[in-house]
Amino acid sequence: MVAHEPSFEQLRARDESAIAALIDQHYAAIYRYLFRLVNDQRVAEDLTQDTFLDVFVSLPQLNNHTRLAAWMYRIATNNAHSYFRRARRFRWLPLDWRSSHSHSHEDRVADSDLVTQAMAALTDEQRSVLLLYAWQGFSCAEIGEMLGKRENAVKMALSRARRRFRDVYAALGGVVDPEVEL
Amino acid sequence: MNCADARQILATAVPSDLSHERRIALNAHLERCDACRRYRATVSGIDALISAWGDGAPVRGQAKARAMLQQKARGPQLRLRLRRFGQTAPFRPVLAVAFMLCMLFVALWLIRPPALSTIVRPLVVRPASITPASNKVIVTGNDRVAVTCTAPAYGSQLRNTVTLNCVVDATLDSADAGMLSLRLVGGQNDAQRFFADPVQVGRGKSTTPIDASLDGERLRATFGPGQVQVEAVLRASDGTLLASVRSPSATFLIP
Repeated sequence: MVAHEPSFEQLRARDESAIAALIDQHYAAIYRYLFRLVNDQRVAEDLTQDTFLDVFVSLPQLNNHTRLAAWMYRIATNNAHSYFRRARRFRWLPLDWRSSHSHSHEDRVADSDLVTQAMAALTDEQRSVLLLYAWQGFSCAEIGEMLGKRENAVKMALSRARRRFRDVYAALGGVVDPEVEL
Repeated sequence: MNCADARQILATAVPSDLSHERRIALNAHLERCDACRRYRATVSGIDALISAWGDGAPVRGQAKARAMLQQKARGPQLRLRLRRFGQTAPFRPVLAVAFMLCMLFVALWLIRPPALSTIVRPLVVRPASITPASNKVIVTGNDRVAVTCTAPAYGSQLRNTVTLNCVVDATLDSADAGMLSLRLVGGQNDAQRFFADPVQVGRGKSTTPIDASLDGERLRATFGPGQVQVEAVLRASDGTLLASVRSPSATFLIP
């Protein structure tokens, strides 16, 4: 069943059905985003819950012009970056992880591993920018609002992230044009 | 449109945000520019990889989060209200001012303790001799000297002390003349404490009871809790002991 879009009035009143609809619509995407940022299921689950708790707390201040998804991603991104600051560590796979595994995985899984490793080479800000742009489809202006950066800075970070990703991905054996200047 | 414009759009623009005219111009440029087509293929290839990678993560904890928030939506929200109180911008100055006032109060209290030293607590008295009606807790005497002391109902809490007020009655012969002294024996640390300097008594007052004629202030002694005795001594001018009396021990406690 497709959850209905909760109204701002319902959300501000913390209507139970509106809360349920909000989770049904956004939980999976927020979780995946956080999981791809921290690369740890348990941490991603905790951060997602924290994000929705923060959203719940702030719902009464929601105004009718708020872009709900962008607002939630901003909270999620802040939570993830707080986690990075607290943990001061990343649990990303090392770059040579692939060499210790057989090459018998299906191509898609192997490709996903390569992407994981290439993404591990990016800074957490570059990962956020690339995910929000390429996967979630936010504009650079929206991403800038989420991360507290100017639009041009986001465009710059996006270009650098793609370039870095392409270089590492190609070095790992991924199929990508290495000669195009990004 | 040139290559720089086209690549700028391909790299950072959301296609749905492009105007119709720019989309047409971009497509026209791509049709005639092989390098920009390669650029587009590379950028969109990378973005497609990221997108597929993002979608590939399994989702966990959705039901748990749903139950948690629905319970919060139903249940009392005191903690959340408090949290929001601290987070909401208009309340931050209020909290800051309240915090500063608290700190100011603590600082003032530390610098100069208020009249807390006068805070009193009930005094438990186990006197050797007592007249409850008049609260006279130490009574002693012989045929010549009698001492009556009165303890207040309360002892000082902070200083942990008791103040005892005593009255001496002396019956002197006409030949008696000398010094009458009153002292406290015992108390905390078993200290001996004189109530006052010895008082000169002379012939002219020999038959007059020494009562309130002794300054009340000078007959006040403060001591710590414990057992005490009151002792009155009458000595002649040459130091000869004329009369002496000591009360039984009384116990003073501040609970």
